[in-house]
Amino acid sequence: MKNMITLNQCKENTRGIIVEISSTDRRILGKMMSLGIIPGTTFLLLRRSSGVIVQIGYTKVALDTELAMLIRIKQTL
Amino acid sequence: MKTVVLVGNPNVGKSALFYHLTRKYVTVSNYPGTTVEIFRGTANINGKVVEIVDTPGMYSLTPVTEEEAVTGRLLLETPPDLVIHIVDAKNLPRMLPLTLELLKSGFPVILVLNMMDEAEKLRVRILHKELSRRLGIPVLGAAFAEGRGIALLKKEINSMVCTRLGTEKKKRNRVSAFTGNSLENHREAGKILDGVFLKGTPDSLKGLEKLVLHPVGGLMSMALILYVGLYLIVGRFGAGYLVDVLEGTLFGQLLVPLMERWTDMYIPWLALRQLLAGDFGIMTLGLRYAFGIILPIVGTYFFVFAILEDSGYLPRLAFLADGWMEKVGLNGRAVIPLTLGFGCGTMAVLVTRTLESSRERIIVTFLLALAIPCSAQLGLIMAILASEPRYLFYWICIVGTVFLIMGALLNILLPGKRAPFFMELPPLRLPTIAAVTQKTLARMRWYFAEIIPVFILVSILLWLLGATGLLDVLSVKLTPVLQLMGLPPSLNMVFLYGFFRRDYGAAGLYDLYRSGTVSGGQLLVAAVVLTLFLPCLAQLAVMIRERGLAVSAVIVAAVAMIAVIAGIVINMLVSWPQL
Repeated sequence: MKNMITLNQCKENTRGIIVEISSTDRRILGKMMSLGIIPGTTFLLLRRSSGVIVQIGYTKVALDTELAMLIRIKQTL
Repeated sequence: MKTVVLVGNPNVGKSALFYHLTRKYVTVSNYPGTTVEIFRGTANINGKVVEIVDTPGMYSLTPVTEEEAVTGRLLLETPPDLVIHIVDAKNLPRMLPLTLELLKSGFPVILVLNMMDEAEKLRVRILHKELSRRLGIPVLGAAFAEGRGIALLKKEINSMVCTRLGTEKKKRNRVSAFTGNSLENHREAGKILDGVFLKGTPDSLKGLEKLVLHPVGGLMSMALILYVGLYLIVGRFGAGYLVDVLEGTLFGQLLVPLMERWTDMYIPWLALRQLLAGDFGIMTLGLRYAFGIILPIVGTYFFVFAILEDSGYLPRLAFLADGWMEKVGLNGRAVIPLTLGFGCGTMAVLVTRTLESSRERIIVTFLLALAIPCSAQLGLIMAILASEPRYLFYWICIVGTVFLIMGALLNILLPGKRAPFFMELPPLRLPTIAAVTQKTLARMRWYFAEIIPVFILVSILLWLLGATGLLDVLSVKLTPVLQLMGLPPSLNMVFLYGFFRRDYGAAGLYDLYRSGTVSGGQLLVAAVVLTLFLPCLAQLAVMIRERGLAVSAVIVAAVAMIAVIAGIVINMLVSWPQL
């Protein structure tokens, strides 16, 4: 789909919407969900280095690139 | 007795509430996974005695890590009379699904919105009366760190547990209910919170946090923390100044001579005199090491570590270190047990429960046994090698290299791959003096309750070995090994102590260094070998409990071998004249 990239390709200080999490691993899905990483949620990418830090609501979540690659997003700004 | 269980996501304040209710202190920090065990205590709730259970944090009733599973099992096996679900108020939207899970499983629940102070600062508003109506359970606001909301909560507990009779205990759904669709719960939670949870000002990275999370700024702040925290406070102040005062002046000039004179005067039996005040005497060796040398170092380390824990820095360090940890088959999460290992390896092995796979738990347990010196060792080695700064530098390089090589090797040898890294970063908070002091004292109390009996026992054992002549036999056996490493036979004792307690061995080396028996390159070899050498008995016991006998036996054998080989190699290197 146009405009769709994964979270690790997102630039610092940009906002976006989580579109889907490409994993079938229930553990990974469950963990992401409990951290607020759910399709339809908006986020702000705070840092991108060896991994990423995203702000979702009032939570800051650190993820490694491997996990960030599973999160497909749409940049909004 | 009625039972009340405290549950909730990691790092929402369960242990803080536990303390407020029971007055029993369990470690409270600012990072997810501080509590890895179930703690029980009793509380007087407005005249009624109730059992309170503190649990490790969990995200859902269907667990991912071992610590999470603990809580699920507890709830299933002995269904409590009341569950208090504690959430971080500002993060209610993603925590409410657990409340729904609990309710659907049939537990009576009180929902507590903790950290209201932080939510208010962010201008988050929660209409809790309406929320309470929609959920059909009591909902209370609180800020446990400042003691807010406790009285109201007690009243609520009282009316939920003490006035209603057992008849209210509903039939609960079976285990399968635990696996309910969580996405559905999230949707439902969203609906329930509509118009009830009002977002405030958005949050982002600010000043100090920007710095510590910056790739370069982060490394610099880490170096600064290590320099000030470890080198200046633990090394120079604790192991240098405080040890001088306590061990040198208090014990060396006052207590030990006094003891010797006193036993000479009043105790006619030589054997007993030696047990109390001889070379390995309980007073002259055991208590002197414990209070004169180890207490000041371990105390200062726990103090520094408590500040780091409460500030919320550690999860950020975990993020920065994640890329590095990958090289040794671990993820950033392992930073927490490893840094705690610099305090006490025994405690750290317990905390490996926060790691996700048994592969990672084995790697960390191994590295803790091998290449992570505990604070007493670290402080003393810094004090000993400070006279030869380049040796201190070599020591860091050697131990660091062993850490990396063995970690990388295990990463290759062990099947499977590293677990993905994710971690919540709690807000950076200014640690309070009261909380830091309380935690430092609690840890020191725990530590000393653990070591004093061992020290006394070791004194007795050494005294027995000495009296029966077995000590000489053991020494003769050890001497050739030491010779290979270029170490004098006087170090025999140090290694024997080291087997019982790491800190004890380091204290022994410090003693020899002070008396000028060991010097130069020997100090470096001894410092490295002692660092790598076997974990102490207490750590070994926890290892066996957590990892099993077979794994522990392999680890111990490998560690002993690596230590001796490293000693031989370094001795060859330092014996070269140009070094």
